[in-house]
Amino acid sequence: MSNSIYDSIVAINDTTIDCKDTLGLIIHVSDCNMNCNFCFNRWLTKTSNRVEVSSILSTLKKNLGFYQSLTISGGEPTIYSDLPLLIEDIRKIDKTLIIKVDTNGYRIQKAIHADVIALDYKYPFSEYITRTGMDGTFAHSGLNYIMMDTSRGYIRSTMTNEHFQNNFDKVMTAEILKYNKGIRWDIQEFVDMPTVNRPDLIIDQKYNIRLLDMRKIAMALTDKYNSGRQK
Amino acid sequence: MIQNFSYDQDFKNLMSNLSTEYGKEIMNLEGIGNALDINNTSKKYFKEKFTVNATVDQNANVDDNTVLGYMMEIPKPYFRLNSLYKMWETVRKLFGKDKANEVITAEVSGAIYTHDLVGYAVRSYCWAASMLDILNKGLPFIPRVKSIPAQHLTTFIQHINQTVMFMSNQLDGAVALPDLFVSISYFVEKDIRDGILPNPKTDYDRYLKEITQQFQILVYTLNQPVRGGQSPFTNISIFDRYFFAKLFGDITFPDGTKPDYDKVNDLQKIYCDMFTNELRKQVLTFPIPTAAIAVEEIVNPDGTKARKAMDPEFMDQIIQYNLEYGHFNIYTGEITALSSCCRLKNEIDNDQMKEATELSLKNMNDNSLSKEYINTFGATSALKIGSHRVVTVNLPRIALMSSDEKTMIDNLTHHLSLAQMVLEAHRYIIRDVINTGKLPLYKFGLMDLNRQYSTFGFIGLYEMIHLMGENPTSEKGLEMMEQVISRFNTYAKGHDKIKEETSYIVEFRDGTFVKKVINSKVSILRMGKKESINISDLKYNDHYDGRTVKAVATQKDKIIYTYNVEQIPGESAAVKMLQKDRIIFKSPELNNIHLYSNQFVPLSDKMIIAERMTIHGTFDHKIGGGAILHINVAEKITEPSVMRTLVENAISKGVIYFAINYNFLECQNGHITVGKKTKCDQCGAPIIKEYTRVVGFITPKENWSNERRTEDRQWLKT
Repeated sequence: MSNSIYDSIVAINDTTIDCKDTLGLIIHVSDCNMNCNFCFNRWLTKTSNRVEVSSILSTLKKNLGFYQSLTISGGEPTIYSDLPLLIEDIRKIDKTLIIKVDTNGYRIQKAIHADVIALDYKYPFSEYITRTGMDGTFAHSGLNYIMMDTSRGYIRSTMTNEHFQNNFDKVMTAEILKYNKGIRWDIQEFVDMPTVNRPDLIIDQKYNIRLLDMRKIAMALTDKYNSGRQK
Repeated sequence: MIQNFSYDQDFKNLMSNLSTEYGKEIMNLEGIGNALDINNTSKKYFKEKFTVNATVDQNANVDDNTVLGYMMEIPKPYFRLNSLYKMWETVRKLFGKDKANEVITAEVSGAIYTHDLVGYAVRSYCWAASMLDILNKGLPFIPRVKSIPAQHLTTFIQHINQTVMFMSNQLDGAVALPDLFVSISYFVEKDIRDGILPNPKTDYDRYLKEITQQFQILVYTLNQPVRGGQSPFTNISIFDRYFFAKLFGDITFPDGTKPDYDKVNDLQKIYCDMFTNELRKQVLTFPIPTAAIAVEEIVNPDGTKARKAMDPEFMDQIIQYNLEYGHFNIYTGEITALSSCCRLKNEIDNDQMKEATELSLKNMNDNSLSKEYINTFGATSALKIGSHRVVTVNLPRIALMSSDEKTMIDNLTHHLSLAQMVLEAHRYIIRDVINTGKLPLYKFGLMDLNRQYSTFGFIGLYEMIHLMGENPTSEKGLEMMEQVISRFNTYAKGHDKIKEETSYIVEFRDGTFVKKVINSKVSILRMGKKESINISDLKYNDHYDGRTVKAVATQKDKIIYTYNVEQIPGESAAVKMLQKDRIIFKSPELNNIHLYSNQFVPLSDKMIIAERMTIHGTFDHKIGGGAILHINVAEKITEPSVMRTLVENAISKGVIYFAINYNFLECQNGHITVGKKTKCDQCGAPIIKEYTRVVGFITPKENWSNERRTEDRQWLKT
């Protein structure tokens, strides 16, 4: 594994969903500090594919104005100390591009120069160590970081069958509600794909109502956040 | 088996030699091997769940798995064989036996591919029909039940349906209805005036309900499998203000009124609302809607040029409708050209086509509708256009045969010449069939062979360059692509011609006539003796074609040969050509290719949209017969601004014809959603069926070939 993000980009794709309301690009970096069972990008840690940063920058230069956003995703981008340099290099090419970083919160301050930060809030803090291999304290501090500046940060959670079986939905909701603050919270449902192959994690129909309840709370928080912004 | 048929012995010998040279597998792929054994084919049909796995002619539009499908599939190998014979026979007459043998060898071995070979001997390919013809004359081509022109909207909707039913069975390919909404608008206005439809100004809700219902009847009828187990392949066009003015600005309806864009566009909107609403219930494939957005070149303040939509309001309308299901094919071109079919571009101001129109007018006989039509409606005949046949050159094959660029172009030119002979022969064959009266739509002026292109198809351009050892998307690779496309275009243009040709009209003593376009050898009885003579040498009292000859006259016909070039969808060609190449060339490089690409960059390649559009935009305007860029976005676009960015970017990059492709999901409870999920968004039930646009239209993936499904999995992976 390289220590530099410049040697660690494994894919570049179009996206219409990763950065809200924009036609964008998403780049994926290899390697992650976590090992989540529902990860659909696990292949990133195994591939030897590499995309040159220079080719990404030249693509951006050739297509100025074509894309409105660029998302740096993973793997985990904040494991690389030179993430801020990459963001700076991209911004030099296209000043209008919205740069977004997807992170699990590991070293969230590395994403400080991004326009948008999306924090993956995966489990109740107490469960992180057993389910991801990493202590939950950094996830907690990541969340605190996002809560400090909700204008450019938001959180998202992928819910699996396991979450509901263990009542994590309730604990996670309680943990977020403690902040008593409006925040954009996106609740995603686990989708099995050939790259994941975990049919056991597909949410059972009996949990549909709980998923819906969780979504309602998340939407209420998002509404609260939006109404705060309007003021 | 073929040895027992009454074909010319030379043809039988050729087929026997080809079978020995290329083996059983190739003959099976050609659909004239084991499939001729009706017993085996029958067993296979009933063993397979889906017809696509039991047919010699794969087509995702076939979803009939009943005995009707069986009845349609079983004779296909025989039709294919007979088409090959007819091809051989006609090419031999026109170009000699050696060329005829070469053409059939190329066809069987997969160097060239004649589309819908099943119907080659009798039918032409596709046609954009004018519903204004039907408005004016009714349905005189249905002899049993002649219908006079419709008086009201409800009847006219039935006339449209019946025309499509009739026409689609006379064609191998698509029926386009480019002036559908304009012609419907005439009856809507008339029925409002007559008090049959509510006046929208006073009772819009009831008006909306009535019109919506008529459109529902139209769409549901057009999706019925009335064409041998398939739905007719239909296209409709939705125009912006500028295309409308160019195409319909000069026309006057029979009652002296003129079409009004705002009223027509209101109908277009009602239709789009209705179609979107129906899609929420089920995936409807037809008619395929093409939104025609006129673009103009503007000069920016910094002196650079850019392409821009002329009617931004219309563009926004289409963007909004396209959000939910991405079901529009979008055409963005200058108003001098138009795509009314799924991809065929119609050069409205093309001189040769103008001449074809004048010629049609001159040649029309008393039965023709067109005489009155052209007098009445003038310029709209520009919409009536089609292709009588598409013959595709297998480009990767050219690469497999070529050692350098020069031989590549030489081999390409040679294969183009073979394709051209097949096309020219087909034009002769169709003229002959028209003369027998068995293609009545030509006789009634609803179709016109002079306005049908002979189309050179290509596929696998990307793989060709790759097999030549170049990276297809490198500067050199793109330069080679350009070279190949230019060769197609210069070859096609070089064969455009207007020729005066002699036909032979044989008059029989019983008062009947037969017209033959080739002075071929025929068997006759003269003074009780069997003889073989040319048609031109027939004499009084000769016994020919079961009748006694009175006289032979000649007639000079002006024939228009117009060629164009299309990047073909190649649903089944893409697979068959690759399979044949693998068998014949045994090149390990071919094992890494799933199928030959119908895009400049294969869908399985992870190239980003901006670059894909740049490459497509470089070549799109050079493909007169059309090409379609598939912009695959697996997840639904919810924001109009994102859709607008995609459309505007496509326009600015020079992309002329494109579609934004979603992945459709149907759950156990029949809900249609979009994305990559295994469960329904609406009810949580499992997804049981997936659909997307495979080659220009939306079909269920279970009807696709294995190779197409593999390609699909590649782009859905991330």
